[in-house]
Amino acid sequence: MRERTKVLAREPSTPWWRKNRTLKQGQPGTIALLLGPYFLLFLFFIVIPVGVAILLSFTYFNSIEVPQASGIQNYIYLFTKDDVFVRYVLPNTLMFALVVGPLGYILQFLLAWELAHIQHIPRTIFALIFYSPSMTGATTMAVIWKVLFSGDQYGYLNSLLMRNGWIQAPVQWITDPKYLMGIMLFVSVWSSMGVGFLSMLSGILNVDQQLYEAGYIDGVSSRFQEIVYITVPAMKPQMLFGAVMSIVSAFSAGAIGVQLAGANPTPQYAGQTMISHIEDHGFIQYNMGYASALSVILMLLMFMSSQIAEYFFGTDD
Amino acid sequence: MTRDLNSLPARLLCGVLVWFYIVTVGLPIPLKISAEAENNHHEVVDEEVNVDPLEGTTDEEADMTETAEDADDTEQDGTTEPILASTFIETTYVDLLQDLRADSASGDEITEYSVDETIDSYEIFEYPVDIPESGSYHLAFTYELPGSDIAELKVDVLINNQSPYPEAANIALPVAWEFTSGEPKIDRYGNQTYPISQRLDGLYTHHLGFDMFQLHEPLYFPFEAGMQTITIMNQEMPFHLKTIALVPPSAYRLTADSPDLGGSYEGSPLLIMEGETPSKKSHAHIRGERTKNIHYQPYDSKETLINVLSGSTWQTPGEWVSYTFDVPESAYYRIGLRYLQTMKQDMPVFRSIKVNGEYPDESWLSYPVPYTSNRVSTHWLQQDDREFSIFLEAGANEISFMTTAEPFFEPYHRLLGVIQRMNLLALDIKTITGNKVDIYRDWMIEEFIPDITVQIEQLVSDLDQVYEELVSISGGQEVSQWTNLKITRDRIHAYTVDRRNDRGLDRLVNNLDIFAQGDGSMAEQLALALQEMLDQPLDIDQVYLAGDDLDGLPTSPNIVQGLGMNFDKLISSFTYENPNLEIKEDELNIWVQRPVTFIDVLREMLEQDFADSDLKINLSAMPDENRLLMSIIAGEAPDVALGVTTGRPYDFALRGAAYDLRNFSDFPEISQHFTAEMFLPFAFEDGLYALPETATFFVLFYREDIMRHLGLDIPRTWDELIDILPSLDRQGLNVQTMIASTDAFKHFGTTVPLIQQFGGEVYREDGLGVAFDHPRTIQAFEFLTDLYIRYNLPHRIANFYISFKSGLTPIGVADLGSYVLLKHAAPEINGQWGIAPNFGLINEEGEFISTQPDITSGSIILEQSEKKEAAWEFLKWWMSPDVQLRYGQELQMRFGKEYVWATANLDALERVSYIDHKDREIIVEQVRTAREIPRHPAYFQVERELSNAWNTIVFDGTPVREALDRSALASNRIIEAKLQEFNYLDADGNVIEPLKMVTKEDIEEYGTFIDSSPRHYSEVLETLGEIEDGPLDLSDDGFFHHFKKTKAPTVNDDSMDHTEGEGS
Repeated sequence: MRERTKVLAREPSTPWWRKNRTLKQGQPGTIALLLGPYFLLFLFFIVIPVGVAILLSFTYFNSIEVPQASGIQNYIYLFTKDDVFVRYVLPNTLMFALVVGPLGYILQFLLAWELAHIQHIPRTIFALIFYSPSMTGATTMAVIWKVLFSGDQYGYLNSLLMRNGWIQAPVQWITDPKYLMGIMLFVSVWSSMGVGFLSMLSGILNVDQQLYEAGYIDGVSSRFQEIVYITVPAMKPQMLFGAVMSIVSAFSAGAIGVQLAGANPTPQYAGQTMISHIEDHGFIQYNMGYASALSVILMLLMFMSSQIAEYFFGTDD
Repeated sequence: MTRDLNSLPARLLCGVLVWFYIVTVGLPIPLKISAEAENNHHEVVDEEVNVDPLEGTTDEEADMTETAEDADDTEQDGTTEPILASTFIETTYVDLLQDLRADSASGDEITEYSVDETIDSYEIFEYPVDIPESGSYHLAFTYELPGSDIAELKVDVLINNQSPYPEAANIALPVAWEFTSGEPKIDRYGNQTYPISQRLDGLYTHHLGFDMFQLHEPLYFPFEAGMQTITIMNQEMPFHLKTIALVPPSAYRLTADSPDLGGSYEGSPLLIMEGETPSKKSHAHIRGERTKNIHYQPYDSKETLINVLSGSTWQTPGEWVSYTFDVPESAYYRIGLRYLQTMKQDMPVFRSIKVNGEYPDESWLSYPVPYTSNRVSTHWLQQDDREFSIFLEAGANEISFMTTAEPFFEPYHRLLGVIQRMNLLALDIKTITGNKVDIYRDWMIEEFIPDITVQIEQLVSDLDQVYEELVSISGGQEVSQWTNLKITRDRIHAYTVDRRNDRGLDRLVNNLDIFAQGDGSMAEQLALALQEMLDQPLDIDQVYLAGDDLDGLPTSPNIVQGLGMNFDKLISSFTYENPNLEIKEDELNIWVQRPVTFIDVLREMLEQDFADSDLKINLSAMPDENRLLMSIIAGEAPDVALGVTTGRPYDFALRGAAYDLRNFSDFPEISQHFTAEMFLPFAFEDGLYALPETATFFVLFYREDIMRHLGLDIPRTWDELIDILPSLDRQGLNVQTMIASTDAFKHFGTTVPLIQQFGGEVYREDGLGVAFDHPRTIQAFEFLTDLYIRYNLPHRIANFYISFKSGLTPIGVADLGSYVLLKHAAPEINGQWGIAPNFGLINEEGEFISTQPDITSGSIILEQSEKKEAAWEFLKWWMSPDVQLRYGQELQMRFGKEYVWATANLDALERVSYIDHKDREIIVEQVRTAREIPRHPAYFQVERELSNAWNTIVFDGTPVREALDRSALASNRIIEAKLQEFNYLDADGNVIEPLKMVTKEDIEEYGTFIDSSPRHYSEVLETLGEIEDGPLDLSDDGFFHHFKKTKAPTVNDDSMDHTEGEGS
């Protein structure tokens, strides 16, 4: 008893909140405190929604009534009975991902590489210009492109082609199934200079100049060799980041078709991708459980693609 | 530089094409031997038909050739002469005005006839008058109105049963309105509510005038001496006609005799009236606007007050407001306006300004109120650029401002003439070139229309003159408002200039739709200027009477004050209560999927009618229907949802989210106002889950002038339409069909009606699959696609309203929206169009079937609701005919005639004022006999597949049966899945419980409904005032005249096997 009062008396001027003022590395409390905000955000906005989606994908959920467990029914239906998915959605999505992903990725790298060679101020300006399409948001973009590809004679493209006598009657660019996919690809590639592009630009700028000098001494004779042997290996983390971002955006930018055509489903499913198919089932056909299964498949697709990217650009650590 | 670049590839391509053409076809054939070329063309067509032996259409093919030959015959006979301009353009008042004015009756004795008769709606009233002297007179009516109604008085005047000119129809007899007094009210969201208007009783005197411009000269009516008959046809509501006065023009006085003007106004007091509270006004819909503009008085940072007279509510000539000032002392006063005029860039707007009922000065007949840009300005009225003052006696003095477009009278008609001539020239060219233009041909158009260059030059010089007149009206300066005119003038002028590669006239011929008739063509661009000239918007904040002392005048806040006030506004916006989608526990929550204006009016009506009731109602706007779905999942659903699209109630019912309205014992009480068909989209199993709320209608619109000119009768049935198609096609004219109004997706409303008309079915009776193999369904679909393949109707007419106005599509099916647009926003074709029943068929019983689904929205009670009885009370109140009618009226009174409430309540629809009397019977009949589309758990897929089938048949040339088979297969797959989902089928496809496909007959047993059976064709013709040509052919061949010439397709078991075979 006496001893305890002694202890208290010894440090009377230090209130509890002033104790441990400095966070000490490695202490459990410190780790929890620093990780906490991120962990909470990650939990509530990523883990739980994804978890719920995965759970829902094993249920029958018609958007209104209480979900009922249905095992892997949704997945069976998806691969055996969903005609639209197999005939249109999957090919469209893969085509979209294969074209927009790699093409956008290569474009990102080339543009970043070229920008890295000019002075600081023009580089910033150009980078902003290239980056802005991805910022403007899909809807704004669709508005711009809708004017360009408008189906009447006043659409910019129709007007231009007609004025020069290339075509005689206006072409229904976005309602004709023949053209919709092409236009979707074009628009998506155009807007693919996103965060990945910025990271690559910074990656190229951060490559140690000494490496190039060493390269010259060792006999690098062209710019191409420089890229292949020095630039790319030196910026692998940024390349990986860019690749993952490209894949994710290629898979998830599929909604552009619905925005352009103004209807879900797109005319004769010509521009139907996973995203619009999910929306169709979730909100138009009231198959929320099935839509969840679709989104799980989409997630797996994305995951596998990024594994491929990892294989190419992954570093050991 | 750029042109060279542009033309280089074009030239290369041209070269290649010419080479290709010469190699494959031979040397270019000049147009002169076009008949031969046409024959060649037809041979090609015939061959194409022959290539397709599967269809077995030999008879039809013969028919095709026949039509083609017909066309050739007429061409060789030379009967397709270019249409003469003069036959199309009617003689109007404008053409006659000079003569009528010169022929004015002399003397200044006004002859007044005491009539004292009440003229009922649509009554034709004849009155004999004894005319002392031949010549033109003005007519003045004195009249009064019993009762209060929103409808305007409109009469047609005929002299000796003949209309003197088209403008003598629909002459307005104006009345006056006022706001009912009372404290301004603020609703729970801090908005001041719009006050209610009422009509002023009493005698009105009006000189019949030219309403479109509000010319200060009344109409001149030509009379012969002696006994003449004046016929008055009342086009609207009943009124009491006291006297008719015959006014010789010289006796008509405009300005006050000797106004006391120009005295010194020193020391006169300042009087202020708020613009938004006029003492009187001409129309119920003239009203103030609530704004958060800090420059208007009064202003409040928290509450949104009505603080300015909304310019757009009185921009049409003839609309006026007046302000009564209580003048304290007799003195000279200036008149001032604090206003905003931003709509007409750099242009003045015009007002006729009267003081105590008389114009003080002739220059005030059309006073130009200058442009203000974005700054609220104060303007002191002037008299011929001099300072103005007028002596006013103490007491009440009235100042009135009437919208007028008089200065635009001449340029308007000159421009209208230009547009009409452009359209006619386009028609003439199309008559010569045919509908499809071969652009690689050198048109020698001058050989057919020798004066074409002169015509174009005349157009250009007329446009120049119009532009000059407009510039002088705007005070001699070039204004941006009319740039469009100038650009169009240059574009037309370019047709007279040959460029290096192409002749100007060939450009005209090859791209005719850019010149006229196309969507957004030059003629259409010019027509925009017409409306522009008529509209004269002016926002008035305050009106002043003042002397030299202006101390009490409000000033616009300066920058610092403005910043402060705007900051205040920002702060108060944080506490602003959002009227969207909140749920209040102790109130009846109603979500409405409609614009806020509609909800405001409903809220006010609720406050009046439910003031004494215990029921508290909370109305919210629902901007996105998916929110309703989310709220149901979250358990936060409202009790009632209004304006729900037609698919939702069924979807909700299927999943147990909507409440069956048949549970209420007094359901028949409300159902008696509807037909059983109207409930069909909302019927699931034994329940009905929504009340039909709004309905549109589909009727046939036709241009009387064009059809008369072509000598064509209005088609009633599909085969009559097909009979006139060659005549229309020869003139390059189109027909609008419902399918042409949609984009790539052809929704149910465009595909199913024809199937239903033909007697086909969409679903099998047991609901386990689609009935695309029903012989009638196949027939219907063959016809639906033939219209666009064989008969070449346009696939897409994006804007029927414009196409119809320009005359390019003189006939077509369209809905309520087009009706309202054409009635209110197409002054140039006023009185030249009419409506008729939708295209239809005559069935075996001789009934006329012209059905379309009409219901556009419904109102539902949610299953989650705990106040279902209260919700039902509300719905009963809401959907009762009187409330529906009143709601429509209130909307129009506040926001103008264009605000149409399209009620589905048939008993209300029969009385609504937005439908003209002459159209009423046709429209009500159309809605009464409408057939709705039954719902099915997988209807969305069936809808898509029907659309896909149509697209593949028309665009890819897939045979009808093959396309339908494929669609049936795809639909049935989803149907099976959906039926399994809802436990109608087990996993192996065996029926657990049959799905009930509800029919109209089932619903009719649920209560009392309005009969919806179609009428006999002879009865239909009778109501249209027509007599049948001959006895109706009701034999087997007579049914579907179209297929008389073809082998009627029969369905046999083979095709069924085929279907199943392909599936496995």
